Amino acid sequence: MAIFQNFAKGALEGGGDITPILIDSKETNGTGLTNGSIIYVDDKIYVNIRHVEYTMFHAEKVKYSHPWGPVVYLHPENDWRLKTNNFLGVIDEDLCDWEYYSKVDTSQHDVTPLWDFVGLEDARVVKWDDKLFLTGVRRDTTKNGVGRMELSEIVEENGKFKEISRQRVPIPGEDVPDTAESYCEKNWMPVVDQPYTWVKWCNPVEVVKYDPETKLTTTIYHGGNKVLHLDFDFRGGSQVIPYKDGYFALAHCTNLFKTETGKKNCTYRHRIILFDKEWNITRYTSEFDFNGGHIEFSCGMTYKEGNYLITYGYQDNTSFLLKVPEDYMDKFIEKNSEYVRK
Amino acid sequence: MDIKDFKELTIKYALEPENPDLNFDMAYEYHSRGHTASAVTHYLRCAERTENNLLAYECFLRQYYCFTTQRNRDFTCRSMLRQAINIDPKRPEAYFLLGADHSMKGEHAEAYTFYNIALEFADFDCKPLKTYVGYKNKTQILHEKARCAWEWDKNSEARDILSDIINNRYTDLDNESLEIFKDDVKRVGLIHQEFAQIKYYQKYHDRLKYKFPESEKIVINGSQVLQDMFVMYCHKGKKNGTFLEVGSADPYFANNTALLEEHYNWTGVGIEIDPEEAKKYNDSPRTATLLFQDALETNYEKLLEKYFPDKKVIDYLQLDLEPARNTFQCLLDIPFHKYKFGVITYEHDYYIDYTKSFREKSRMYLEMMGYELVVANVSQDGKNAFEDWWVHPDLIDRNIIDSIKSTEGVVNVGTYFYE
Repeated sequence: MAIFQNFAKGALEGGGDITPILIDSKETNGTGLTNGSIIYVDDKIYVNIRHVEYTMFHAEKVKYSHPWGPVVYLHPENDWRLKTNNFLGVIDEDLCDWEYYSKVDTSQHDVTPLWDFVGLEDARVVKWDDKLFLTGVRRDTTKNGVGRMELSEIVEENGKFKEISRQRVPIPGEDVPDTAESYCEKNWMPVVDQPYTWVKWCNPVEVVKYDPETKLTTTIYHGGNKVLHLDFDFRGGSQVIPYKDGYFALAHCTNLFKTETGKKNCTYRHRIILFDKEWNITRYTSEFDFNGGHIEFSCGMTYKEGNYLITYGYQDNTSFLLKVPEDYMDKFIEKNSEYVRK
Repeated sequence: MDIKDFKELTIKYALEPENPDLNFDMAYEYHSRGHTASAVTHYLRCAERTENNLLAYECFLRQYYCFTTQRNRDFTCRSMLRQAINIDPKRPEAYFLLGADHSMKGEHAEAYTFYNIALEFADFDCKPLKTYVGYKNKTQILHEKARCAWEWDKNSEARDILSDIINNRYTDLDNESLEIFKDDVKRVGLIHQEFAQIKYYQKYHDRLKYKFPESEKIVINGSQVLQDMFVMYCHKGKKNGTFLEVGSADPYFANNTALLEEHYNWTGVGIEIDPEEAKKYNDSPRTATLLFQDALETNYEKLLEKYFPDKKVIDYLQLDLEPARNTFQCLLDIPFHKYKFGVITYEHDYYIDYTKSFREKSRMYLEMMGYELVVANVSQDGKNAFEDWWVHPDLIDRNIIDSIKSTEGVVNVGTYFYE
């Protein structure tokens, strides 16, 4: 299937809306605000934005590459660590601006980082058991950058957000020595209506559940040999949310390649992936971009009153919130997806 | 743009994300809000999609500012400007910004080089950019080049450039630049010109065109550019003369009356506002009275009555204040209706008078007061005129006046006084 270009345009023409999400640049030094996540619960639209202390320079057409290549992450030249801060807040009903937001105060649980990727990356916001969580990957707890999903409980106090607990989510079997090995786990997609449950991998589908009491993770579904033979991967994106008789989510697809002189280049686009209640993939859409960006990344999708609200990062520097009318979403999926034979 | 308008722009953009102009508009809005990473995304998208090289060029200049604001991205900052130069090597802005970037980091030789390239190769009549990028005009580059030249020990070149700006381009400087410019003019010594005194030494006596009684006995003069020799020539080596010295400064160094006092027994009064200079003067063996006060707050009629009772003729008046406006203001305070001065040296500082008005005003005024311009546009170098020399024709011999008169062009004192 060809790449579907400019999903946002169709959404807008179908009655949708789009908003730039901004944090006061005094708090960010102007560097990237990206990979937002969103959830509509308790009549509030919560949005989390990842602030990175770099600027991505991406010459998408390779016409004006940076001397270091078409895609470069421009950190301060005296500090190359990839540092992430999270800003969480509530967006107004008109999807125009924040009602309030704050940098998530993680000071209660912060320790000296041991690796160069610092902070909770690509956090998805969920509400499970009436608690608000950010769940993303953290890689700063070991000297070699082992990545594990974490679950940070967030409370709101006077319009400010604070992390009150932090749990590192093990992979299934990690408690049994020598049985499970994994260097970096990330982009697990939380299932919004099943507490402590993530779609860990999509092909084959693997769904895992974490027990906050025992601190163990178990696989509750594994697709086994139900593997789709595709020339691309589905990588984790948004939360997994109910859709018709099952679930759906935004997954991302990467294409990593090099220029003729060996410099790195890539695209990050999306597909919508649909599951039935038994976690079988039933459909997936063609690859698409939101706004023609060669690197886009979504960590969030929620449903609100006839619309899907999607947050996504644009070229790792910018965040948008897109309102997609339900009708447009249905039609898009219908026209641009393939059924998976059972 | 408020957030609602920005949202409207975002909607337009989302409908046409490949449109270079909309990318520029998005970039500019993000940039104005301090969201420089987002601005970089859109400037770059604009540059890569536009057919308009000028717009692409401007996008890279603006990306330079984005990275500059983020700090500690020096390599990238400069690479943005190099990219701009590659897009249009004939425009001045990128050279200027590269020069400024080097200059800010104390890399004056590198900065000088980029300014030089701009001045040599850039087209200064090129089409303006859409937005202001910090570059104003060619004069700004000349000014910056002079600053770097100075730091790189090309001191004469720095002075020449600054003088050229004063004489030909000062109206190009806006208020902000003008303040810096004035400081630079002082810094390089163009105001005091102490760097280029033209002295008289006894060994030069044979070459001295304008000799006067006992000039052969003078071992060394005091003045900066032979004003004392001029005064004594006009007065034919007069003994026991009188002077009023407004703006005395140092009692000996570049002083116009020390020679008169010590060799010819003149007496007089000096006025100096600088406490250090005043103290130095009063602590020195000089016999003249030095008043530590503001020359512009002085009642000259009372002063002259006090220090020169029963005299209505004073042999020499020095007017040497800064800036030119103050010297002229002081000139107006001199009671010419009651007193005549044989010789006047008047410092109009034309070469650094940004208004270019006070030399003419002083000339009109002194002519009205009955004085005759004898040597106009005195300079050390034949270029930077800073003084006029006057006499009262009732007090100075006509033959003397005619023998030394020069009122055309700029006088280089060195070549004028010496064979």
